[in-house]
Amino acid sequence: MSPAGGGARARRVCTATTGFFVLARCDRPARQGCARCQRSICTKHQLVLPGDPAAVCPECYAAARGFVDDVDDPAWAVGFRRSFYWDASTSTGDDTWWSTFDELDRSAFDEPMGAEGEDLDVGDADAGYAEDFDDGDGADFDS
Amino acid sequence: MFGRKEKQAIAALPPLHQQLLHDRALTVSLPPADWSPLLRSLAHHDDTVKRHHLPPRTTGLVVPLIAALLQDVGDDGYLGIRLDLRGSDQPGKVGPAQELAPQGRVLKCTQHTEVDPWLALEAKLADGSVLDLWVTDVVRVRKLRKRGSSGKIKYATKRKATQRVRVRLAVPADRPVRAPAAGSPGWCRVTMTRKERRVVLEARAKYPKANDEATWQLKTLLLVLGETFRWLPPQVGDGGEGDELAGAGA
Repeated sequence: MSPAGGGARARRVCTATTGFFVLARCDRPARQGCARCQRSICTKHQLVLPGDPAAVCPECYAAARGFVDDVDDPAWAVGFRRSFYWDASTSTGDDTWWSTFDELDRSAFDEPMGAEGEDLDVGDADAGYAEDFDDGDGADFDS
Repeated sequence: MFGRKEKQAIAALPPLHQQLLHDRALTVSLPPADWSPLLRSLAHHDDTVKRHHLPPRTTGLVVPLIAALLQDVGDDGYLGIRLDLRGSDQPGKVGPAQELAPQGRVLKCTQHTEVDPWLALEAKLADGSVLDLWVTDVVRVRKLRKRGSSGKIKYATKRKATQRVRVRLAVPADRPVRAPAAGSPGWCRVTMTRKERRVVLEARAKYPKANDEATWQLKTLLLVLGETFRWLPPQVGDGGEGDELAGAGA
């Protein structure tokens, strides 16, 4: 039995976080570790930073690249997820939501690391409308 | 007007991309593998087509929203949308006008409401859940004729919009569900219904549409979507304590 307690041959699996709301582990067979954080990564999640031939995991790649605007970029999904969870914790006051991430994921946020029956009212139904149209407001005037 | 190069560039686009460009609306359901080329084409629309732009909210809101949700859709899942970006002033979306009583210097005021259900989305997620999203803009439009302080007659149109979002997340009944400790924000209400085979989480939000900026709308929609997912504790195997690698050192 192997030290990991598996069968005759221990299996090394990718630990990259997948998904956006439904977070999970990749779990594909991994052959090497991230050059920065040493987590195991599969070939699908190996990314190479510009000017550095060593393969890194998506989280380290996104942390190094910063915010990527292009949806087509391989770093977009991870960077966008990081940005969203950061915003969500501020908006909801819930800083435990990303507890589905492990310590490696959370450390990436550290700075040094680098219908029916519904009413259709809009606004105050009782409020008068005349005060909305003072003389100084000519922005919406048709003529 | 279509120039020769513009016409060629549009003809080279994927058929669904062309449909959205021409009709300003799109109804389609695709597996993740088929979404990727379409999203790539939409995201780079302005690189090839210079004069015929996609409807507002397409590249800044719809494309990243779908791309984010596709991260949760498995290879055997699907994501379908009914998108209508023609605007809220189209026939069928404009309600009847009513006349309001004159007030102060306002001589005449008519008001109508525009109801624009511009996005409906359904996705089967990798964990067996089914996610539905509906977004509707409700716009109150008031047209006034008023007398200014100098006695001049002026006409004004005022628009005030709110956005209604409804999210429905049906998860398998054996999945643990619990209310988040931090509660929900005041502008969003989440309810849970337990059925025989599913637990249905439903979030409804209504908020003033502060601006038309796509980034703000995208963030707000994702926050409403996230309110339902906050009710789902992490599953075993999501990387929590005790979910260490098997043979990590091997």
